[in-house]
Amino acid sequence: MIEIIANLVFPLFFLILGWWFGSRAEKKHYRSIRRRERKWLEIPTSNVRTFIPQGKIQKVRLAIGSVVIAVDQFKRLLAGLRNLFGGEVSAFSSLLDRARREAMLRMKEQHPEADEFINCRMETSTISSSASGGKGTVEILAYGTAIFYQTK
Amino acid sequence: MAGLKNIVGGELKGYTELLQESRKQAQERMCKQAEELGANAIVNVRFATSSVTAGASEILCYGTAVLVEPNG
Repeated sequence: MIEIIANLVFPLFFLILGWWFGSRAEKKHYRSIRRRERKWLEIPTSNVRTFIPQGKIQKVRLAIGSVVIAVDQFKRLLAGLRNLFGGEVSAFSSLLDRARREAMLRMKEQHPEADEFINCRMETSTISSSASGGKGTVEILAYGTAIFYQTK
Repeated sequence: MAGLKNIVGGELKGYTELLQESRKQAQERMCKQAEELGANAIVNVRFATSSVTAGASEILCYGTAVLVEPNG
């Protein structure tokens, strides 16, 4: 009886817990991302190395933003099922999408006064922890050059 | 804490901070090396991360050390 509880009820409980909190957290995160992205719409951001300055440059600074984010237990199961049938692993693509956008926003928020961001790059790495079996936890690093123009 | 987050998902703040600090350290080491070379600026800085084993990663920060002289 105890074995049944340990093998069936606990994983199921964690699945439901993961699904409930995970989907709520994701919705909240996306709302926050969309709201903050609107604020940065006017600031040009690109990955070009050489650019035409729109004025006299006052200073340049390195901008870094990073985030470590994990997928919930329910989505991890979905992704595991996907491995059987193949196809797009949407559970992980939403994870990577929000991690990238969050890292990008953090990079920009490091320099709120910047006029332009150039040479932006993104770096992805997997955080392997024994708890997740090395799956579903990623770190995204976004970095670029913040350009500050001289105010006329 | 990280184990719990693996169930419900979301940001692992501890890991974010850990990696940020490591990256800062790598950056400082790069700057120190550039100073030893007599440079006053580093351009084209890049970061690389690699997982060594479970729970450990390597942070690499590299760039080109240059000597910038004021114009004119």
